[in-house]
Amino acid sequence: MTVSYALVALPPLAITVVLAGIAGAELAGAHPLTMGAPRSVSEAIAMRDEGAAARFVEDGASVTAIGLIRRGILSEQAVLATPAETAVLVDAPPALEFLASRGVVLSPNLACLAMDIGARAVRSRLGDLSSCRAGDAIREVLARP
Amino acid sequence: MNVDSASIDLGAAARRWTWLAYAYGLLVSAVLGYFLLGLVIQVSDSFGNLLAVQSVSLEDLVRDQFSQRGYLRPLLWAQVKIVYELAAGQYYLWFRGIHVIQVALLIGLCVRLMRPRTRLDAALVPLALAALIGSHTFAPLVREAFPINSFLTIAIACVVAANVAFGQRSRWYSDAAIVVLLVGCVLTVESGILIWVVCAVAYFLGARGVSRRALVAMTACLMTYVAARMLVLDVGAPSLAERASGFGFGILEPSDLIARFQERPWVFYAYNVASSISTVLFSEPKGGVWRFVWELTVGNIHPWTVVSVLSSTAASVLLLWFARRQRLWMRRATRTYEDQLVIVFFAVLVVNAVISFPYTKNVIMSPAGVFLSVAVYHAARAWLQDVARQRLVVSIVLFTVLTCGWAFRVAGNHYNLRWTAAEQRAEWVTVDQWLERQRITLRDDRAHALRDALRRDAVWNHATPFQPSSAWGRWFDIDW
Repeated sequence: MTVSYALVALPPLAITVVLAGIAGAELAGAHPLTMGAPRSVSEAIAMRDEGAAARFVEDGASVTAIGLIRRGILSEQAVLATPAETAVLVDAPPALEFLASRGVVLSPNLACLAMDIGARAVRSRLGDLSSCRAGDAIREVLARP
Repeated sequence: MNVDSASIDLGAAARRWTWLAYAYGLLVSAVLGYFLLGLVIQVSDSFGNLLAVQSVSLEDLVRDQFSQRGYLRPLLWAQVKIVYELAAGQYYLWFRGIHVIQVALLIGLCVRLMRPRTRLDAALVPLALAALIGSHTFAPLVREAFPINSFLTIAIACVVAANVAFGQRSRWYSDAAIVVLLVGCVLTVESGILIWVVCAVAYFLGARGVSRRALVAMTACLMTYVAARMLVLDVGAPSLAERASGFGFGILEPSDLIARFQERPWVFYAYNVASSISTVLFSEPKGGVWRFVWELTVGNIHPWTVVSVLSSTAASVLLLWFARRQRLWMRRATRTYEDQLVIVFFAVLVVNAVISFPYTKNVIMSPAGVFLSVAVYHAARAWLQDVARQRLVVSIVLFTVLTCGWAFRVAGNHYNLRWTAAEQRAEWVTVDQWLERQRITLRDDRAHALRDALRRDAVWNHATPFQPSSAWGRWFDIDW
């Protein structure tokens, strides 16, 4: 009977212990099951952490510089992208709005990128372009060494 | 061993399991509190409210609330104003601290209501607390604040009321406190009425923690409130034009609601009441939207949806079995504490749903969700004590769905707290654009200072907690 009682308690208990472990590890400086803190404006946007992106920018980071997005965040490979391209890749209009307020020019190429990956939310912000050649914009981002 | 020493041993053992249950509650509170401190004061629903209380005196603020249409919540605003003034610039510390304390209080009071005394009781506390904090009616209690979550305040007050009502006997001070609690909560949010429901049903069932005199006083207060609201202040209820609401497979905007239901609003109200009951018992619909049914029809079932529906249905099956076996509605003379609490749950569920008639939201049903967890605890104990051995296969299936399902939902709610933490900071990054969209002008230096302080808290002082890998997203990333 004791075993069956323990089995009833086990699943929720296990989740609580795992969550407590995550909390404890984070307080100790580790970051289990996460990618840790973002390292660039682009990576912050890719991780949907606009707060960190703003902190980088307000600390002097460029809003147009190409940044490294570590593998496992956007895809299985590392990606090199500008903050605006990243905002399109994760379909995040607020990030795009923030970058625009910081002087980033929303180029037509971003609209092509949004069409390539089917980013619905940013497409409604950027509009569609008839001059885009399907696949070119995304190929250009992924081809970066 | 004589009788006295045996009873001392039993008492010591009972205390050990009781303390173990409280210790587990403390652990759950600490973990949830840690995740809650990852959130900041949000822009929507909080910054605007703080601006509204900033330049008005407490008296004027409360007085203005008595001339509102649709809502009568003067003490909700008074609480925000008082904490705002007490915070003296330390907004994160005060408002987020209060949120953590509220959650810990709710968990502690729920454990107290469960009265764990045995090994089996202690083993069921993790399941019951998972049913509490894993619920979709609990999620908005922790993901949102205004910047005090008034629905959480009401949920706590209802559990306080139940603890008092099921106490051994009434005392003058507990009677006085419960009347004050009712008045305070009713003037905070309309769901405060549920405190009266808890006390009245408990009294009817034979509990005497609240005296007859106190119950009469509470009833008089409630009638005065209803009369003042309807006849004197002419506050009424929220109209169809008030807000968007879920209906069928989607959300209807106020203009759609008016077009469809202006001639027969009772159809919409009946839908809301039925949806509110169903969402607590079956996790479907959520916010009035039949998401699971829709996913079934398109053949694209999300794990988060199916687990929530299955785990809630398993809990409801357990409760219905308990109600039937105990013959709750007939067996008046020999009702146990467990029977009484399950009846209180059903009463809270029905009244909670009825007062939610103008629109349906998960958070409004949070008091019923809280009592569901306590009722599940008692029903599960009865099943494991009396039925499990005879119906082994059914028991294994039922409890696997229950325990694994609710544990999964706990993980999902914590995952969503992380996601919310990032989302809230994103709002602060573009707060000026938000102010423009809302047509809010920061009129003086104090308003600018408030915006700067809250933005600094969100972006600089309290960095976004680490975001879980996107690989987990497909399991949990549904925004309710």
